Amino acid sequence: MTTLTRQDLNFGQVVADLLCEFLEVAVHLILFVREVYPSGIFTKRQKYNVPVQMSCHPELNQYIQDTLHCVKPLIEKNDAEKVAVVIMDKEQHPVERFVFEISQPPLLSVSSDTLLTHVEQLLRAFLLKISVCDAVLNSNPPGCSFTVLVHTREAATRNMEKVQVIKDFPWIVADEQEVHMPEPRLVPLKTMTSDIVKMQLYVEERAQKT
Amino acid sequence: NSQQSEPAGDQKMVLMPCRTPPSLDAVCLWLQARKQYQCLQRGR
Repeated sequence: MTTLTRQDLNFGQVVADLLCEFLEVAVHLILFVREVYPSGIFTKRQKYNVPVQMSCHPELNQYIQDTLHCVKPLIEKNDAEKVAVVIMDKEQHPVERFVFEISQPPLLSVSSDTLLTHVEQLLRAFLLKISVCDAVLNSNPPGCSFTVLVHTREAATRNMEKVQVIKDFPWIVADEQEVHMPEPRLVPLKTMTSDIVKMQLYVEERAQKT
Repeated sequence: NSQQSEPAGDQKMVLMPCRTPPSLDAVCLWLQARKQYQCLQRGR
Protein backbone atom coordinates (compact mmCIF):
# COMPACT_ATOMS: atom_id res chain seq x y z
CA MET A 1 0.00 0.00 0.00
CA THR A 2 1.39 3.38 -1.05
CA THR A 3 0.35 6.81 0.12
CA LEU A 4 0.13 9.23 -2.76
CA THR A 5 -0.38 12.97 -2.71
CA ARG A 6 -2.48 14.98 -5.17
CA GLN A 7 0.69 15.98 -7.02
CA ASP A 8 1.53 12.38 -7.88
CA LEU A 9 0.40 11.19 -11.32
CA ASN A 10 -1.02 14.67 -11.99
CA PHE A 11 -3.83 13.42 -9.94
CA GLY A 12 -6.16 16.41 -10.16
CA GLN A 13 -6.20 16.11 -13.93
CA VAL A 14 -7.19 12.43 -13.75
CA VAL A 15 -10.08 13.27 -11.43
CA ALA A 16 -11.14 16.26 -13.54
CA ASP A 17 -11.14 14.19 -16.74
CA LEU A 18 -13.13 11.46 -15.07
CA LEU A 19 -15.69 13.78 -13.48
CA CYS A 20 -16.18 15.99 -16.54
CA GLU A 21 -16.77 12.94 -18.71
CA PHE A 22 -19.33 11.75 -16.17
CA LEU A 23 -20.94 15.20 -15.78
CA GLU A 24 -21.39 15.47 -19.55
CA VAL A 25 -23.39 12.22 -19.59
CA ALA A 26 -25.30 13.29 -16.47
CA VAL A 27 -26.31 16.67 -17.97
CA HIS A 28 -27.66 14.98 -21.13
CA LEU A 29 -29.58 12.49 -19.02
CA ILE A 30 -31.06 15.17 -16.75
CA LEU A 31 -32.25 17.18 -19.76
CA PHE A 32 -33.89 14.04 -21.16
CA VAL A 33 -35.48 12.78 -17.93
CA ARG A 34 -36.79 16.21 -16.92
CA GLU A 35 -38.07 16.84 -20.48
CA VAL A 36 -36.29 20.16 -20.96
CA TYR A 37 -35.99 19.31 -24.68
CA PRO A 38 -38.13 17.00 -26.84
CA SER A 39 -37.25 13.31 -26.59
CA GLY A 40 -36.73 13.22 -30.39
CA ILE A 41 -33.32 14.87 -30.11
CA PHE A 42 -32.01 12.13 -27.81
CA THR A 43 -30.62 8.75 -28.81
CA LYS A 44 -29.85 5.77 -26.64
CA ARG A 45 -26.14 5.25 -25.94
CA GLN A 46 -24.15 3.01 -23.65
CA LYS A 47 -22.05 4.72 -20.94
CA TYR A 48 -20.46 3.05 -17.93
CA ASN A 49 -22.22 -0.07 -19.14
CA VAL A 50 -25.70 1.39 -18.67
CA PRO A 51 -28.09 2.73 -21.32
CA VAL A 52 -28.33 6.53 -21.25
CA GLN A 53 -30.00 9.12 -23.47
CA MET A 54 -27.66 11.59 -25.16
CA SER A 55 -28.65 14.56 -27.29
CA CYS A 56 -27.75 14.60 -30.99
CA HIS A 57 -28.40 18.34 -31.37
CA PRO A 58 -25.00 19.76 -32.40
CA GLU A 59 -25.40 23.21 -30.81
CA LEU A 60 -26.67 21.82 -27.51
CA ASN A 61 -23.88 19.23 -27.40
CA GLN A 62 -21.27 21.92 -28.05
CA TYR A 63 -22.77 24.10 -25.33
CA ILE A 64 -22.54 21.29 -22.76
CA GLN A 65 -18.99 20.47 -23.84
CA ASP A 66 -17.86 24.11 -23.66
CA THR A 67 -19.46 24.52 -20.23
CA LEU A 68 -17.67 21.52 -18.78
CA HIS A 69 -14.41 22.45 -20.50
CA CYS A 70 -14.47 25.69 -18.50
CA VAL A 71 -15.39 23.89 -15.26
CA LYS A 72 -12.57 21.36 -15.65
CA PRO A 73 -9.69 23.59 -14.40
CA LEU A 74 -11.67 24.27 -11.21
CA ILE A 75 -12.24 20.57 -10.56
CA GLU A 76 -8.59 19.88 -11.34
CA LYS A 77 -7.51 22.25 -8.56
CA ASN A 78 -10.24 21.02 -6.21
CA ASP A 79 -11.86 24.47 -6.43
CA ALA A 80 -15.35 23.45 -7.54
CA GLU A 81 -17.33 22.83 -4.40
CA LYS A 82 -20.60 22.26 -6.24
CA VAL A 83 -21.67 21.94 -9.86
CA ALA A 84 -25.42 22.41 -10.29
CA VAL A 85 -27.62 21.79 -13.30
CA VAL A 86 -30.45 24.26 -12.85
CA ILE A 87 -33.79 23.97 -14.62
CA MET A 88 -35.54 27.31 -14.90
CA ASP A 89 -39.07 28.35 -15.76
CA LYS A 90 -40.01 30.89 -18.45
CA GLU A 91 -39.35 33.74 -16.00
CA GLN A 92 -35.80 32.41 -15.48
CA HIS A 93 -36.49 31.39 -11.90
CA PRO A 94 -35.06 28.02 -10.79
CA VAL A 95 -37.60 25.23 -10.38
CA GLU A 96 -35.13 22.40 -9.86
CA ARG A 97 -31.43 22.09 -9.11
CA PHE A 98 -29.41 18.91 -9.53
CA VAL A 99 -26.48 19.58 -7.23
CA PHE A 100 -23.25 17.60 -7.53
CA GLU A 101 -21.27 18.28 -4.36
CA ILE A 102 -17.67 17.32 -4.98
CA SER A 103 -14.72 16.91 -2.63
CA GLN A 104 -11.37 15.29 -3.15
CA PRO A 105 -9.27 13.79 -0.35
CA PRO A 106 -5.80 15.38 -0.05
CA LEU A 107 -4.06 12.07 0.57
CA LEU A 108 -4.61 8.69 -0.97
CA SER A 109 -3.90 5.38 0.61
CA VAL A 110 -4.12 3.18 -2.42
CA SER A 111 -1.80 1.40 -4.74
CA SER A 112 -1.64 2.96 -8.19
CA ASP A 113 -3.17 -0.08 -9.92
CA THR A 114 -6.31 0.16 -7.81
CA LEU A 115 -6.54 3.94 -8.19
CA LEU A 116 -9.59 4.01 -10.44
CA THR A 117 -11.06 0.70 -9.39
CA HIS A 118 -14.77 0.87 -8.66
CA VAL A 119 -15.08 4.56 -9.51
CA GLU A 120 -16.84 3.83 -12.78
CA GLN A 121 -19.15 1.41 -11.00
CA LEU A 122 -20.00 4.12 -8.49
CA LEU A 123 -20.65 6.65 -11.26
CA ARG A 124 -22.90 4.16 -12.98
CA ALA A 125 -25.12 4.13 -9.89
CA PHE A 126 -25.51 7.93 -10.18
CA LEU A 127 -26.72 7.60 -13.77
CA LEU A 128 -29.21 4.92 -12.78
CA LYS A 129 -30.56 7.16 -10.02
CA ILE A 130 -30.90 10.11 -12.39
CA SER A 131 -32.71 7.97 -14.94
CA VAL A 132 -35.46 7.12 -12.42
CA CYS A 133 -35.59 10.40 -10.46
CA ASP A 134 -38.74 11.61 -12.25
CA ALA A 135 -40.65 9.20 -10.00
CA VAL A 136 -39.80 11.30 -6.93
CA LEU A 137 -40.00 14.76 -8.52
CA ASN A 138 -42.99 16.83 -9.53
CA SER A 139 -43.49 17.76 -13.18
CA ASN A 140 -41.89 20.95 -14.40
CA PRO A 141 -43.92 23.70 -16.07
CA PRO A 142 -43.75 23.83 -19.88
CA GLY A 143 -41.09 25.90 -21.62
CA CYS A 144 -38.26 25.39 -19.15
CA SER A 145 -34.61 26.06 -19.94
CA PHE A 146 -31.41 25.22 -18.09
CA THR A 147 -28.07 26.55 -16.99
CA VAL A 148 -25.07 25.29 -15.05
CA LEU A 149 -23.89 26.95 -11.83
CA VAL A 150 -20.47 26.44 -10.27
CA HIS A 151 -19.84 27.21 -6.60
CA THR A 152 -16.24 28.26 -6.21
CA ARG A 153 -14.01 30.94 -4.67
CA GLU A 154 -12.92 34.24 -6.12
CA ALA A 155 -9.22 33.34 -6.28
CA ALA A 156 -10.00 30.12 -8.11
CA THR A 157 -11.63 31.89 -11.04
CA ARG A 158 -8.14 32.70 -12.38
CA ASN A 159 -7.92 29.02 -13.33
CA MET A 160 -10.91 29.52 -15.59
CA GLU A 161 -9.95 32.74 -17.29
CA LYS A 162 -7.58 31.36 -19.92
CA VAL A 163 -10.02 28.63 -20.93
CA GLN A 164 -12.87 31.15 -21.16
CA VAL A 165 -10.88 33.26 -23.62
CA ILE A 166 -9.78 30.27 -25.71
CA LYS A 167 -13.29 28.88 -25.96
CA ASP A 168 -14.94 32.31 -26.30
CA PHE A 169 -17.25 31.16 -23.53
CA PRO A 170 -17.32 33.83 -20.80
CA TRP A 171 -18.67 33.19 -17.30
CA ILE A 172 -20.34 35.69 -14.99
CA VAL A 173 -21.37 35.86 -11.36
CA ALA A 174 -24.90 34.49 -11.07
CA ASP A 175 -27.64 36.92 -10.03
CA GLU A 176 -29.66 36.32 -6.90
CA GLN A 177 -32.61 35.52 -9.19
CA GLU A 178 -30.72 32.55 -10.69
CA VAL A 179 -29.54 31.22 -7.32
CA HIS A 180 -32.40 31.81 -4.88
CA MET A 181 -35.11 29.20 -4.59
CA PRO A 182 -37.89 29.74 -2.05
CA GLU A 183 -38.55 26.82 0.32
CA PRO A 184 -36.81 24.10 -1.67
CA ARG A 185 -37.62 20.44 -1.09
CA LEU A 186 -34.45 18.40 -0.79
CA VAL A 187 -34.34 15.01 -2.52
CA PRO A 188 -31.09 13.09 -1.91
CA LEU A 189 -30.27 10.86 -4.87
CA LYS A 190 -26.84 9.29 -4.40
CA THR A 191 -23.60 9.52 -2.46
CA MET A 192 -20.28 7.97 -3.35
CA THR A 193 -17.04 7.70 -1.46
CA SER A 194 -14.01 6.46 -3.33
CA ASP A 195 -10.25 6.74 -2.90
CA ILE A 196 -10.04 9.64 -5.33
CA VAL A 197 -13.29 11.57 -5.03
CA LYS A 198 -16.34 11.97 -2.84
CA MET A 199 -19.52 13.09 -4.49
CA GLN A 200 -23.06 13.68 -3.39
CA LEU A 201 -26.00 14.28 -5.69
CA TYR A 202 -29.25 15.79 -4.51
CA VAL A 203 -32.11 17.68 -6.08
CA GLU A 204 -33.50 20.92 -4.72
CA GLU A 205 -37.05 21.27 -5.94
CA ARG A 206 -39.15 24.41 -5.65
CA ALA A 207 -42.27 23.84 -3.55
CA GLN A 208 -44.60 25.58 -6.00
CA LYS A 209 -43.49 24.93 -9.56
CA THR A 210 -46.40 26.52 -11.40
CA ASN B 1 -16.07 33.47 12.48
CA SER B 2 -16.04 32.24 8.87
CA GLN B 3 -15.18 35.65 7.42
CA GLN B 4 -12.00 35.86 9.50
CA SER B 5 -10.82 32.41 8.42
CA GLU B 6 -11.17 33.24 4.69
CA PRO B 7 -8.24 34.94 2.99
CA ALA B 8 -8.99 38.52 1.96
CA GLY B 9 -10.61 38.72 -1.47
CA ASP B 10 -11.32 34.99 -1.64
CA GLN B 11 -15.04 34.97 -1.12
CA LYS B 12 -17.39 32.22 -2.21
CA MET B 13 -18.85 32.82 -5.65
CA VAL B 14 -21.52 31.26 -7.82
CA LEU B 15 -20.67 31.44 -11.51
CA MET B 16 -22.70 30.70 -14.62
CA PRO B 17 -22.02 30.84 -18.37
CA CYS B 18 -22.80 34.17 -19.99
CA ARG B 19 -24.12 32.35 -23.05
CA THR B 20 -27.41 30.49 -22.94
CA PRO B 21 -28.11 27.02 -24.39
CA PRO B 22 -30.22 26.72 -27.57
CA SER B 23 -33.84 27.61 -26.90
CA LEU B 24 -36.60 25.03 -26.90
CA ASP B 25 -38.14 26.67 -30.00
CA ALA B 26 -34.85 26.50 -31.89
CA VAL B 27 -34.36 22.84 -30.96
CA CYS B 28 -37.96 21.98 -31.98
CA LEU B 29 -37.42 23.68 -35.36
CA TRP B 30 -34.19 21.73 -35.84
CA LEU B 31 -35.97 18.47 -34.99
CA GLN B 32 -38.78 19.23 -37.42
CA ALA B 33 -36.32 20.05 -40.20
CA ARG B 34 -34.39 16.84 -39.51
CA LYS B 35 -37.56 14.75 -39.69
CA GLN B 36 -38.52 16.38 -43.02
CA TYR B 37 -35.04 15.76 -44.38
CA GLN B 38 -35.17 12.11 -43.31
CA CYS B 39 -38.59 11.71 -44.97
CA LEU B 40 -37.22 13.20 -48.18
CA GLN B 41 -34.20 10.89 -48.05
CA ARG B 42 -36.46 7.85 -47.64
CA GLY B 43 -38.66 9.00 -50.53
CA ARG B 44 -35.75 9.05 -53.00
